[in-house]
Formats: sequence, structure tokens, C-alpha cells
Amino acid sequence: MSKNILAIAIATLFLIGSIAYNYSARKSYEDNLNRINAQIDDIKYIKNLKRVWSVRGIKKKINKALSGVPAKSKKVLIKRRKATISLKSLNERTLNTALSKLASLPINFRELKVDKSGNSYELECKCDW
Amino acid sequence: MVLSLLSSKNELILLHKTMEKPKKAKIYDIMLSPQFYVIKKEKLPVKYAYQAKKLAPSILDDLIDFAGRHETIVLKNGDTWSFIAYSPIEIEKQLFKFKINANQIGNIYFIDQIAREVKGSAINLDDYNAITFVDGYATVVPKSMLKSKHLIRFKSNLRPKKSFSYKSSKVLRSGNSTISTSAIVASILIAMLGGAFVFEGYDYKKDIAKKEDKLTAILDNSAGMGSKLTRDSIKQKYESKEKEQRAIRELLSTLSGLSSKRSILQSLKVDDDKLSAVFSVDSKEIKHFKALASTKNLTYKQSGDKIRVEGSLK
Repeated sequence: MSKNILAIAIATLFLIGSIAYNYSARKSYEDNLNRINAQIDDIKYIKNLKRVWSVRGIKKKINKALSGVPAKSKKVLIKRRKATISLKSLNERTLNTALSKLASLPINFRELKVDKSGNSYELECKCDW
Repeated sequence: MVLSLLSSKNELILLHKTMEKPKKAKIYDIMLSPQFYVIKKEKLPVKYAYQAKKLAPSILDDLIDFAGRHETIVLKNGDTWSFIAYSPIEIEKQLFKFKINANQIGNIYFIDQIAREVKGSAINLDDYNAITFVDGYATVVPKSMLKSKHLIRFKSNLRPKKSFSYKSSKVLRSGNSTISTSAIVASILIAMLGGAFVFEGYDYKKDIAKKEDKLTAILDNSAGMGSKLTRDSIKQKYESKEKEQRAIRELLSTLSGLSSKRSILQSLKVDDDKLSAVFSVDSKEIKHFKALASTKNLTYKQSGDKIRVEGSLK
């Protein structure tokens, strides 16, 4: 075999090897990238869920949400991770405010009942977190 | 064989075995004495040089051994073809005595080319020898045989019009023992392309290492989320809660949109799988109310001025 052919053959072998290396590196890159991105997305998603449903200072938040309701019209009982809320003599506006504020809290509504009696509303709610 | 189309201004030297060291020059044009080539003239019925060149080995067979490396040249003069063969190795050996390398050789000429210019004279070579033309062939003969002939010195004005590019022994050998420039260039280009692939592959590896570092940093700041099982368990816990409770909030928001001065909420209740509400609706508003409820994917049931709407939490 002449040196010319040998030189080109060696260079070509190197080229083939480098293409194979490149292909395997690229494949491994894509697989790893998908895995890493999936993990990062997963963690971000969980963190976001945790942030949305964070129950830190929930008692205070419930009381604050009901601060617009006169004391004589509300009865709030909070025990461990459960709350029973009873609101009476609410006008339409107060009911709307109280309900939307409660809905914005990360609590689970287990029972929710609203009834109109005459011109006022009554609300009963059992929730936990 | 390539004829030079440009007039050469290189130093012209007459190459013979007893020559003295030539003047220093960058490139030399060489006039070969008969000591460095063989020539044979034949009348042949061939028209083209390439055809004649194919015949050169058989014509010159009795003069040279083609196993040794020779370069052949053919020249046409009327019906007669001149077949010339020279050995680049012999030429280079002679020049090497004066530290002249093959790459310093420009064009070459053959002393037979100047037979007409020299006419009846002889060209002086050294103290004992001269070149003369015998039967039209340049021949080295002792001066003692040239009593009647006029001796001239070889000068650059004896440069023939036709020149030939010199094919060095390295070029001749390149077929099987030396790497040619084009092969080197091709190999380098192929290797460079390969290098680019390797570089790109290495870049992928570097990039993924950076991403791994980023993931490690995120995991370090997210205690308890390293394992997929743990993450799935946390997700499951929050997702079931998220789905149900988000549905309640969306329905509450929808019912709020249905409520107005002409459609007043009477009662509302959240059960396990549905949220239901009763509205007292003005007779003029009933049609509009029902249409609105339908667009919000709520089912409704009318009983007098009361309309009961329901939405699923599933």
C-alpha cells in the first residue's frame, strides 16, 4: 500500500471514528438532556404546587379573610388542621367578599352551604388543609 | 511533459560530469549533456505525442533499463520523432555535489536541441572533452579527435526556445514511497473534518456536564426530591387536591357571574362530586340566564321562577 493511500486511509478511519464518537455523544446528550429537563420541570412543578398550597399561617389568613364580617355574625372554630365557619346575617356583598377570600386560600372545602333567609344569607363551611 | 510558455530568466548551466561549481542562484535551468540522457530518433507513422510516448519504452528499451527510474520525453521534427529518456536521480546526484537541491531545478533542456545553433563547432566541456554532433546526435568526445573543429564555450544565449519542466525523482517515487502534497492536503482536510466532529462531540459532553451541575444544585436546594418515587408521591398528593379544589373555585366564580339583580342566589351547596345552586330569576331574564348557564357547561332545571344549576367537580 502506498503512503498516499495509507495517509488518506488513516485520516478516513479517524473521520469515521470521530463521526461515531460524535453520534454517540449527541445521542447521549439528547437522552441526558431530556432526563435532566424532565427532572428540573418536575421539581419546578412540585415547588409551584407546594407554593400554591402552602398552609403556612393559614389560621391567620382565615381570620383575615373574614375580617369584613361583623363579629356577632361569625363563628369560626379552628382545631388542628380543620376549621368550621358559620356566618349569619350577611348581605350579598359581604357574602361575595367572604366567599371569594376563602376561595383564594389553600384550603380544602369539605362542606360548603349558602342559604338565603329573607334578605340575608347564611354560610356554613367545613374545611381542612 | 509540459512545455514552458514563458521565457526563463533562471541561471542556465550545462550539466556534465566534470563541471565546476556553478554561480550561486536560487533556481537553475539545466542544459543536459549526453552524459545524462539517451536519445533515439525514429520515423514513425504516429501523429500525436501521447501516442509516441506510449512507444517510448519499447523504442528505448535497448538503451536504458526501465526498471530504474527514467522520465521520457518525445519531440517531433518533421516525420522524425526524438525519444529522450533521463534519470532524475543521476541529475540530482550530480547537482547535490554543488549543494543544489531538486527543488532548485527550473526547466531542463537537452543539448541535442541546439544542434543547428552549434553547426560544425564543438562545445568545450573540460580540458580533455567536448561535445560534438555525430550523425545528428550530441556526443561527448576527447578533444584530441576534434583537431579540425572550432570549440565554443557554452553560454546562456544557447538557450533553446522549447523548455521542459523537470520531474524530480521525488515526484517519480511518489507513486509508492513518498507522500504527495495532494495526499497530505486531502488527509489533513479529512482529519480536520474528523477533528470538527470530535470537537462537537466533546462540546456535547461539556454541555451535559454543566446541565448535570445545574440539576445537582437544584436537587441540593430541594430536599427530599432526589428520587422520582418521592416526587411522584408528592405530585399525586397535590394533584388530586388541586383538581378537585380548583374545580370548586372555578364553579364558584362561574356562579358569581350568573348572579345579578334579576337572578338572585337563593342557595348553594358543595357535595362530593357536584356543586349546585338555586337562583330566583326574573321572568324576563330566564332565557338569557339559561343561555349563559349552557355556555358555562352547567346543567339547569327550572321550577317556576327558580332555576337550579349544577356543575360537576370531576
